[in-house]
Parts: sequence; C-alpha cells; structure tokens
Amino acid sequence: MKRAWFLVSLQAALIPPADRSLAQERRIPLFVGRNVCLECHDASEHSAGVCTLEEIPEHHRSYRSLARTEASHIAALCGVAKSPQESRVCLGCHATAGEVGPRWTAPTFDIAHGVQCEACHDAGGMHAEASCAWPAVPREEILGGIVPGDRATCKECHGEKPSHTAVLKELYRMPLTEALYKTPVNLACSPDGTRVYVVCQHSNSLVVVDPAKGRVLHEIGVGRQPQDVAVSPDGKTLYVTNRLSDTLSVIDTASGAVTDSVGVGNEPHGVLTDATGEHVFVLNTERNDVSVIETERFSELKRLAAGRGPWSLALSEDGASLYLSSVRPNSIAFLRPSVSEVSVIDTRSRTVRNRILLRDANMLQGIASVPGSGVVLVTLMRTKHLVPISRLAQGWTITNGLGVILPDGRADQVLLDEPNNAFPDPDDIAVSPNGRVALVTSGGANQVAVVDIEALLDTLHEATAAERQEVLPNHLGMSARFVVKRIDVGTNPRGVVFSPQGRFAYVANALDDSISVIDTEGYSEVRRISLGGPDRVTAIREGERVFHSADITFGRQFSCRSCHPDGHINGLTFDIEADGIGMHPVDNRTLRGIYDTAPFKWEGTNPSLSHQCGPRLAVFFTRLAPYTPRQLNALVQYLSVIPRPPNRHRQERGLTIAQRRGKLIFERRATSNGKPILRARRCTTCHSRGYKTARTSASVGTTMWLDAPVDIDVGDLHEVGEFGYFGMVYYHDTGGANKAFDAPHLVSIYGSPPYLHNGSAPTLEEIWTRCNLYDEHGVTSDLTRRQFNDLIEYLKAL
Amino acid sequence: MGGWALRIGGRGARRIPGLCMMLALCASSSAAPIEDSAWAYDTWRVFTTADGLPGNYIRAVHLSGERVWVGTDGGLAMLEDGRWRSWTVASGLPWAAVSAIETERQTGDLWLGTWGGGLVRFSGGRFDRFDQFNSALAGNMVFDITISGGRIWVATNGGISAFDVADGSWSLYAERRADRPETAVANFCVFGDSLYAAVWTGEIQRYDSGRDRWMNHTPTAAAGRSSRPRGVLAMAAVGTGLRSVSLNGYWRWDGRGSWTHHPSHGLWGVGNMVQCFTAAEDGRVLVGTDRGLHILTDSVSETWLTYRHGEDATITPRGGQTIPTRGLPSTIPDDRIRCLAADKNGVWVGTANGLAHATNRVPINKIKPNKSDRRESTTPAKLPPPPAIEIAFLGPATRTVALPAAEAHDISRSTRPDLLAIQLAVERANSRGGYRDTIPFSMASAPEGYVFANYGWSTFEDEYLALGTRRSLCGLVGHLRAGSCASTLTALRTEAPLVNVSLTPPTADESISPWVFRAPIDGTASHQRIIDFIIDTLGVTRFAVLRTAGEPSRRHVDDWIARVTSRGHRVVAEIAVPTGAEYPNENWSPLRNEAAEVVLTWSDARTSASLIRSLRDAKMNQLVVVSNEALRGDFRDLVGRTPGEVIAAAPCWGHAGDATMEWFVERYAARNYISRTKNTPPRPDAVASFHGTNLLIESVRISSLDRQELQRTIRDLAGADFARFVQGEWMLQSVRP
Repeated sequence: MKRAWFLVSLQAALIPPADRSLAQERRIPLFVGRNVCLECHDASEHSAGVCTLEEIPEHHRSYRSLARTEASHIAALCGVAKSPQESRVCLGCHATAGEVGPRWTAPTFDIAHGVQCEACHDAGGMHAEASCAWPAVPREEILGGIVPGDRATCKECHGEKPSHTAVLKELYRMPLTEALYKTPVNLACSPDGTRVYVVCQHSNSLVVVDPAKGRVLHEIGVGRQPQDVAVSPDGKTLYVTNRLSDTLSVIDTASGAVTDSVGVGNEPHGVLTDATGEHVFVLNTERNDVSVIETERFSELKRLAAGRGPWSLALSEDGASLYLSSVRPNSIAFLRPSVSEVSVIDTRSRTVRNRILLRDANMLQGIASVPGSGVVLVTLMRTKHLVPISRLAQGWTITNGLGVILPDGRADQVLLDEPNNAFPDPDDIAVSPNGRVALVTSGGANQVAVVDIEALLDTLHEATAAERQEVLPNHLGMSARFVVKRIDVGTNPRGVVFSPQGRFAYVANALDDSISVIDTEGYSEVRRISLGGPDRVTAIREGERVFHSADITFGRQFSCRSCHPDGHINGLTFDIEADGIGMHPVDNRTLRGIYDTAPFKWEGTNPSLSHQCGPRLAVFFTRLAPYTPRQLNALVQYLSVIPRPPNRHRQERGLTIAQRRGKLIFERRATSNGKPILRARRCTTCHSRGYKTARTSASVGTTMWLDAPVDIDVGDLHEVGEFGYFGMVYYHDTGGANKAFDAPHLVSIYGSPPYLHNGSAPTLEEIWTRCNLYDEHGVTSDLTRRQFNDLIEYLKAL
Repeated sequence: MGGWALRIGGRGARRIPGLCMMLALCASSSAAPIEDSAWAYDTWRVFTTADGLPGNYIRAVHLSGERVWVGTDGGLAMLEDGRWRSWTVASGLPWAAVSAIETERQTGDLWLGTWGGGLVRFSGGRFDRFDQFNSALAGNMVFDITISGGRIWVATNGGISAFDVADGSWSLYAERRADRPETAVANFCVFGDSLYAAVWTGEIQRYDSGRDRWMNHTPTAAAGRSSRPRGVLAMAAVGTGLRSVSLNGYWRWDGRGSWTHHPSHGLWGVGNMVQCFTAAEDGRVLVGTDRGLHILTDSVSETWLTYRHGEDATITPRGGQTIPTRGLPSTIPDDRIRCLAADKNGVWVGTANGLAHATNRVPINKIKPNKSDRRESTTPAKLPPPPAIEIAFLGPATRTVALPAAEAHDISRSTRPDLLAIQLAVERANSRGGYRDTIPFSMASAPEGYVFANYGWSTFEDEYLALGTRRSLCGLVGHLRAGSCASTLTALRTEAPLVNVSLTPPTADESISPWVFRAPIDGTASHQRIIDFIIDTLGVTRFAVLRTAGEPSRRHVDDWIARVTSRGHRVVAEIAVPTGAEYPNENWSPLRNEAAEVVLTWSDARTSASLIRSLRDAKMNQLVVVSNEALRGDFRDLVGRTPGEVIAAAPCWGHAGDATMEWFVERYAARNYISRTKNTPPRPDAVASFHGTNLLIESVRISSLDRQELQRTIRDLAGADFARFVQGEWMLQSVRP
C-alpha cells in the first residue's frame, strides 16, 4: 500500500516541474529526504535494507540542536556570523543538503530531520525515480547518484572540534557583548569644521562628534563593518562604506538619517567624491576595482580596474585626479619581490589614467595629496619576505615608511622608522591645508608622526638618483631629517584628518574607542574624546589589542596585523625559517574563521592556536619574550572570533547549476571514463564537511626542492631536465621526498590567493593547471575545460 | 563617355560602357549602370616596421575615436596624431602576437586577444592577462572580441568565454563532451539586439540571453542539414541581414527568415581562404582572403573589385568573368589579408606583410590612370631569405588540465619515435641536397626550445603558434586527435600544410580543412588494399580470422572483415585464440572444414609466430596476413621453421629493396641504440611520421614554397602516387617471402 502511494505520488510531487526538468536535463539528482528513503528502506520483510544511520536517534536531533544556546556560543567562537541553523559550516555536519541549498531539495525533503540517509549516500532523487520503474530498469540506473557510505564518511564529522569541547564542557563561553565596542577606524570633517564624523567598525555606526565641545552628538546606524566616510563638497551628504554588507550608506547630514543604501562591489573600503560632488568613487577591496556612482540617482555607472586591495583615495589639489592606494602587491608571481600600485583616475573621463608602481613595497594604506606641490604621499611597508625572517635582529624584516609620488609620476620611498624604534603599521596620513605638515598614524606603536614635508622633499632632491633608488628606501636614520616629532595617542590609532582650517587634527583610536585631538601649534594631544564604548576590557578586546600591538616584536617593527590586516592576508609568501635564502617559503593564510580548523602551520604541526601563537612565535617571528599566558589566552580568544565575510559567489537559494555540477566532480570517486580514483586522491578525502578540511596532512605532489628535507647538490639544479614549470623540482616520483602539508579549510577560499603551501599558485585554477602535473592533488587531468570550470565555481561557493 | 576609361585586358581594349551594357542585360532590370555606382580607392598608404610598427604581420586593426590600434605579431601599436606608439613583450605586453582588439567605452580599457596568450586587459598602462590556465577562458587563441551586455565576449579556439566586468564572473560556453571536437569560433557579429557567432567548426550561432545559451541560427530544418553553413569562416552584418562565408559556400540571411546560398562564389574557396569579412555602416562590404582584398563596389550588380599585390585591380561582376584593369594598380603590401577595419574615409587593411590604409573613394570612371603621385607608399621591408626551410612537429593533442611535464621540454632529450623519425627524414632530404640543392631543411622548434603539444586543453597553443608564425616554416607534421582543432586552425591560419600522421579515423575538423592532409598511412586504406590485392591479384576469396584479445586486434580485424564483406565475400571461419600462448594442439579443423585459403590475424610478433608455427605443424599452408609489428627481422627465428606465405598488413621496417626504409631503419636503430642484430622495428607511429615528412619534403621539391602550389601538389601526392609508392602493391609484393 505504501509503495503504491509512493509510485503515484513520486512522479507528481517529488520534484517540482522546473527542477525536475533541470534535474533530468543535467542529470543532477535532488535531495528527497528520509521519508522517501524509508518507503523502501524500512523494517519490513521486503525492505531493500535500512540505513544504519537511521538507527541512531541523535542524527535526527542534530539540526534542532543548533537552536540551543550552546550552539550560538560555538558559532560565535568560530566566527560564524549567521544563526547556526543557517550557517553552512554548521549545517555541513548537523544536517543533510545544508551545503547545497534549498534549490536542490525536493518538496519531500525536510532539513529538520537532521542527518539523514542522503548525508552519506548523496542525493537520492534519481535513485528514487528510477526505483519506481524497477525491475524494468537496469541496476546501474537505479543506483544512479547513490554512493556507498563507510566509516570514513562518519569520520568526516565525528572528529575533535575544540570549539564544541570548549563550550559543551563549559570551559569557555563567548561573551556576546563584544559588539558594544565602537572601534573607530576612520573619520572626516565637515567643511565648516564643526563636526567630525567617525566610522565605528564594531558598532556598525557613524558617530557624529562636536570637536569644540568634545562630545558625541549622536550615532547613526549603518551597514555591517563600516570602513570609511566621505563628506560631499557641500557638506550636506555623508557616504559610508560597509565592508561586510557590500553597500554604500548615504546619510543626510541635516537629518542624520540614512537616505539610501547603494549596492557596490565586494568589501568596499575607501570612499571619496570628486570635486563637484557629482560622482562618488568606492574602492571594492576584495574585487580589486572601483565603483563609480553618480550622485543624482545613486546608480553605479561602471567599475574601473584598480590595484590589488584598493584601500584609500586622495583627490589632487586641482580636482583632476584621484589617487588610490592598494594594500596588496600587484605581483603575486612565485617568489618575486612585491610591486604595489597607486592608481590614478582621471575625474573628468572617470577612467584610469596611470598606474604608478612602488617596488618592494606593500600595504599601501593612507594616501594624501600635498597642496601647492602636486606631490602625493602614501604610507607603505617594505616587507622583506624573501629573506629569512631571522634578519629581524638586523632590522630587516619589515620597515615602514612613505611613498612620495612626484608630479612627473616618479615614485620615491623613505622610511619613518628610526634605528631600534620602528614606526609599525603606518595606517593613515593627512596633510595640513597649507601643505607643510603630514601626520601619519602608527597603529602598532600608538603614535602619530609629524612629517615636515619641505624637509622630506629637500632630502629627496639632495640625493642622487642611485641614492633615491637604493639608499633612501632602506635608510633607518634618514627619518630624523623630516620626522619632527612623534605624538603618543590612544590605542591603535588608524584614521587621521585635519580640520578644514588646519588648526586641529583628529585621530581615531580604534581600540580604546576615542578620538585624539591634536593641536597643530605645538603638535601635541590636547584632548581625548570618548565615543562611549564600554570601560570594561574583555579578554577578546585585550586580545585584539595584543594582535595590533608591535610591542611584542624586536625593535617594535611589526604587529600581527602587519601581515594579517583585518585578520586576513597581505598576499605574500614568507621565508620563516633561518635556514638559508629562500628555503621553505610558506604562504600567508587568512585568520578569518579558523578556530576549528586545527592543526595549524602549513606542516600541520601545531595542534592549537595556543601552540601556534605561543613560544614558537617568539622564536620565529617576534624575537622577544613570548606572550604572557594572559596575553596568549586573550590573543587566542580574539583570533577565534575574527569574522568571515559572506561568500559573494553563493546565492541565497543555494548552489548554481554549474556549482552543483562542480560539487559532483568534487565528490566523485571515479574518473570520466569510470576508472576508480584512489581514496587518497579524492577531493573529499582531505577536504570534507563544513570547513572542507579533514584536519589532516597529505602529500599532494607540491613538494619543491625548496621544501626538500634531503640534501641537494645545488649544481644539479641546473640540469634542464630537472626543472619543473617554475624552475623547481617536483618530487613527484620519489615518494620518500614528498612532504605532507596541512589540508587547509576551503571556506571562502576564493578570497585568499595565492594558494598552496608556498603560494606557488596565483589563482585557484593554477593549483591544477600548473601545479598538479601528475594528478597527485586530486585527479583532474581527465576533466574537460567546462568540467574544470564547474569545479572552480563550486570551490568559490564554499 | 569622354576622357579616361578603364582598359580591359585580353583581346585588346574595350571600354566600360560596353561592359555595363553587358551587365545590364544579365542583371535585373533595376541594376544601376556600373559607371555610376562602382567606386575604388584612389590613395593608398602602407605602414611597416620602418614606420614604427612592432611587426609586419598584421593580425588586428581597431579604430577607436582618432586612434588606430594595430595588433601585430611583434606587439601592439597605436597611431595617434600621425605618430606610432608601440608596446612589445619587452615593455610589458604579456604576449607578442595580438590578434583581436576592442575598446570598452565606459572604462576606456582596451581588451586584447592574443594569438596563443589568451585575453589581455590594457588599463592605465597595466596589462592583465587572463588565459586558459588562470581563468575560464576557453582557449588561448583569441579570434575576436566584442563587448555586449556589459560582458567581454571572447571567441577562441576552444569556444566562447564571457567576462562580466561588473562582478568579475566568467561564463564558459564550450563543448561539454570530451569525445567531441572543441568549438572554434571565428568571429562575433552584433546584429539587431542579438549577438551572433561564426563557428569555424560548426554553424552560425545566436546567443539566447534568456536561456544563457548559444543556439544554432541556421536555415530551417526543412532545408536539410547539408544546406547549412558549415565551417563558418567569417560573418558580418550587412544592411538588414547577415552575410557569412563558410567552407561550403557563401550565405546571406535577410534578417527575417530567408536564406540565400551560393555554393561557390568564384572569388574565394579552397586555396583562397577568407580570413576576414567586414561591412561599413555605409554599406561597403570588404572581404580579405589569402589572395587579395575584395570590395563590393556595386551591391546592386554584386560587382567586386579585387586588389592584389603588384597587380592591377580586377573587376568581377556576379556571374561574369574577372576583368583585369589597367590604371588601378594596387599597393597593398601582400595578398594575404588578415584583418580589415573600415572608417568613414576608407579602410585599413592588415596583411601578412604590412598595414595599408586606403582612402579617397572615387567612382571608377573618375580615376585617371597611373596617378602614382597620389599614392604614398612605403615598400615593406624586404626580409632576408630564411636560412633553412623548416618543418615543425605537432605532437598529439589531448585534453588535460596540466601543463607539460618537465621532461617534455627539450627536443634534444626526446625519445619520441615519431619525432626522431621526422628528424631522420629531414636529414635524409639534406643528404640529397635539401631544397633546390642549396637550402637545407630543418626541424623547427619553438623559442622556448620545445615543440610538443601533448598537454593543455585542446593543444599546446604557445608552441603551436610560435611555430606557426615562423616565416621559414613550410609545413607541419603531427598528430590530430578528436577533441582538438587547434592544430587544424594553426595550419589554416598560417597556410602551412599539415600532414596528419595519426593512425586514427579522420577528425571532424580535419575533414573540412583544406590545409590538412593525411599521411598515406591510413590503416583502413591499407587493410582495404591488402584484401583487394588478395582477391584481385591472388584470386583468393575464402577468408578465415584468428582473433586475439585487445582493442587493436579487434579494430584491424574488423576493417579486414568489412572489406571482405563489401567485396561480396564472407569470412568462412572465425576462431578466438589467446594472446601470447603456444598452440601445440590447437584445433584448426574449422579452417580445414571450410577450406579457408587465407588466414587473417593481428597480434604481436611472438603470438603471430606461434600461430604460424602451429598452423604449419598442422599442415595448414594458407596465406597468413599478420600485423606490421609481427613481421620483424627475427620473425623467421621466432617461427622456428619456414613461415610459408606470410604478408604484412601495413608498412613495416626494412623491406628488401626499399632503400628509403632501409636507410631509415638503420639510422633509427642507431639513434635509439638498438642493436641491429635484435632488429627491433620502429613503432608504427615512427614509420608514419617518416613517411609523412617525406611526403611534405617531396611536395616542396616538386612544387615550390608557394602555398597554393604546394597545397595542390601535396594533395595530389597524398591522394595517389605517393600512397601507392609507400604502401601499395609495391609493399605487398616485396613482403611476400
């Protein structure tokens, strides 16, 4: 009787017409849910066999358990922004089909049933449909799309999860009050100087401050993680970029209301208008482009190609040009020095007119033009990532300075560091209206440097061409000529701005929720205005301060943030070990949402964040005493909650058709011609479930002679036949020399190039097209171009 | 009709009015008199490297405002205010050969298609490269770029890709199945609200934005598949419709539903390939071919004006004879037209040896003869004669994700038998004096030092194209595989004959390409000849088959059986035998019972020898046909007795009396350090490559380096005499013991 119902109802109701045709056409099965499975696979004597998973009731409760308070704590601890019942990371183990999205589920499917048969056996739509015609259809067709489950499948979820242990054993509960902090990161002045508008990253708000009275007037809610603010030339409108919302908030200054929210590109950061106020330029830092928005109807006209990680803007004095800084270097070629770009936009034609390159520089953040001279100043770091970081002792790891772009397009570099007293993390720069002084904030030293611009330019003009190229960019003692003073301000100063008349300057102290007011007559802090954040410093807040402070490093050269801006990446590979020039390079990995992805380090030798950031950090990075236990605990707690931005390649309804095809390729167990793929070479063996990591190490044929644990006669490397594509030896055929590397998690993997342990793959595609010559990193050589593209689309949606 | 008149060659001078009257009789009643509407360009100017171009081989011309962008084999150039500015690899251009150019008006960025290096964005002085290894670009050989619907559409050798500038996403429109040829797209055409694509390996397609698919846009099904454009070389929107040139003719679509097909145009066709096709807004239609520039000078009477290098222009009315003129000498620098761009004043003509700009459009009857003072021309730089005539090897192209393995990079380290065989053929030709007894042949290699095409989707374009642009290249020898058409395209676009030495059935693109030839090592044809020889010459008709396991055996034996059947006979007995076994007590009674006269079997030497020994021991003395691999020098030793009457199925090594093969085998063995006493035979692909290269070399010797003549010669040789020479009756007669 039941079966009769099944036969009748399945055709009519199992799959909606649109998706049914889609499924039939594409041969992609839908998830049908346990009730459909149980029509045949029940306990009756004619049963086709009961899934063992069904016998464990906890599987059915797994989805509902995500509604518990503990689940919220775990999610918060892992940096999951969504509700656990909506998060793919959580649903990967707590439900079935949570990863593919509702688009691929039949009406019979109910996610509330938790972990169902199809969690292990994959979507059963085609199987169920073919079974209706049994025995008229061959067995192969009935089994279409069904995969056998095994114990290895169980292990994909049933492994150690520190976040769950921490919360469920009541070792740690996430304080859910962190959002009360303001964390001001950027600010702007009204044209009349009576208001200072402060962007607060944690509170998702814009705070309006009366600088004369030293108090907060009101606070305006904007999008998630606001980053920058610009004032229209007439002072009537404010523009705020919201990095996690991908929007631009338009605020009427008179009413203090958000009048519009304009969609822009991924992770908008800098924002500025042209001189007329007719166009707003928004820097989409994750998409490496610029949204040009006309302000009459607030529609996006076009997107211009910028450098990598466009960050801040400056308008030239004549209003004809916009200068854009970029935090990540343009070149991500393997083991090559970094070259960063300042893009120049013609504001009349709104096209990119020029691109000025700064060699050996990265993290170009603050940028400002100097009135009266045509000069543009940009903050920068000079990261010596290709030499052993042990050179820290010689003051060579990261130096910090300014790029000086002259009117003829030439670019010089000078340092703001002093011997044994670096100026870490130069974040922002502002130039006085008279063009004589520049203020530069140091987020790592909690200081503001006062730069005499005339002396700076004199220093450049007095130097020979060779000195400007080789000496000045590296000379630690040269800053004494033009850095007049360093002013101590609040914790982690970020944005800085002069008042319109130049009488005062304002500095946003990100990690103590305040603004420093600097009197430009004596260049000293005369007032600190609190923005109203909580007085109590939580462990996470303390960890955030530790993360942003350079006090832990030798010579105060850099902080954790120097390489992990906003917890993300700076796009470089580093030679960490003190074992020679260029040996063992490792790619810099993002810290966004990493809590449950242990072990850490590319070789997978650090089982926890505490271990990763413990004494070894002092040995390999900071070269001073390690963090105290309290600092370390705070830092780990902060690292655990660095949020992961929403995935821009994933639609609300779930995977696209191409992504679903890609998922089938990702999970396949046989090649296109039916040849079985060894378990060790399947994608899902190392990249499984929510985070897409089995948290193991594996050898995938990416070992180069740089990683070799064996002695190599360097002379042998000149043999033509020994060279791989990059001029490196791949130990593809000598198993003993192949090294295993940590299988990284793949969540939002699209946003953290380059890839592989040493950053040798600049794009996702090149992991396989250039670095998988022998099908050791998954079997991909049989894929057509279209199949491969589907696979890449799926990976981007993770 | 006073004053000047065109002089028509041939039997004395005639005047145009006479011609027009004749045309008027043939054409419709509405035909306008040719003297009123026919026009020609009066002023020509030629630009070459002497003027500042980075290369003389012009692949793309693009007009953007007052700027003229030119893509050459040496880089990118821009003409502005009368001055040339250029970008080369040395100045940051990621790839030297620029084959398509398009301007994105919104951003001012320039999109460059390269011939082997993928897609390049030129923005603010920075070049960003997108190729098939780092993006979803379908292929690295870019034929055309157009911008439509906010997307950059790229026509490549592997299909179509579209890049959405706003969100940075890619869409890929390529063949889904691995066992089908990839889709090579010649050019795009925006017509009305739709985007059309001329598919070189297929038909005309239209983009359906609602379904996000490319659909066939061809005559109705009633017209039948045979009357569809097939192998579309170029397409352009003309007036209210589309015109396209395909390998099966000239097609016009009126924009509504009516198609007109001219199977042969007369001006172009095989050996005179259309390379570009464009129409200006004012109705001018221009066609660039390998044999000059054709301009539709009078659309009513379909009269074409043809310019060729160093000749007077000619006029060709529809259905009429080509009429040479005197007084309209052409100053186009080369007949091989590669790209065209029409502006309001004239037309830019990119050729294989310089760029020409034609202006000053005047009625033909207003042109005064020999107005050489109005033609500003710069004679293209004379290139030095090539040091050698080169033959390039294109390896087997298969679809795979990975780039070449390290060991495949260096030709000198290669142990590939087919590559070695080509080298030996070249050496042999040089030992006989080379070409015209003075110029040696040589093996071409890409600048990077390797010539393989083993890897990459569809081909290893980098190397292919580097080879294809070498001026000294006279031909290509290589393997074509189903699923790849880039080899075919390389041959087509470089007009270099490609001798396919694969032992596989013809590929789809091969069958429609006029520049691809089969080496006379066609396994099927060989098998047919054997059966024909046995039936016709020996008069034997009772065939038996001994089947061994494995795919090669099945395929070859099936070929034999098919031929036997088609000749009206049948296989009287078929016995399955294990491979590699001894057959001391095998039951051969079916052969005896059916009185089989010939035994067909395909296996390795040892198995074949065992079978023959067993047959002879059983007093079975039939003629045995074995595989080419079986008939080695030590075959008699393997059999262990007199083998009896045995013949080989395909060319094999070292036949008595064949000096060429003896020469080849001896050196092949020496190069491979094979002991002559072991007599290990060359592999069939080596033999095929040797023969294929000889075919190419002999064709060059017989004809010349003129591509058209070479094309004809090689077709003749491959089709008849040469095939007979290398594997026909000669082969069978000499193999028989």
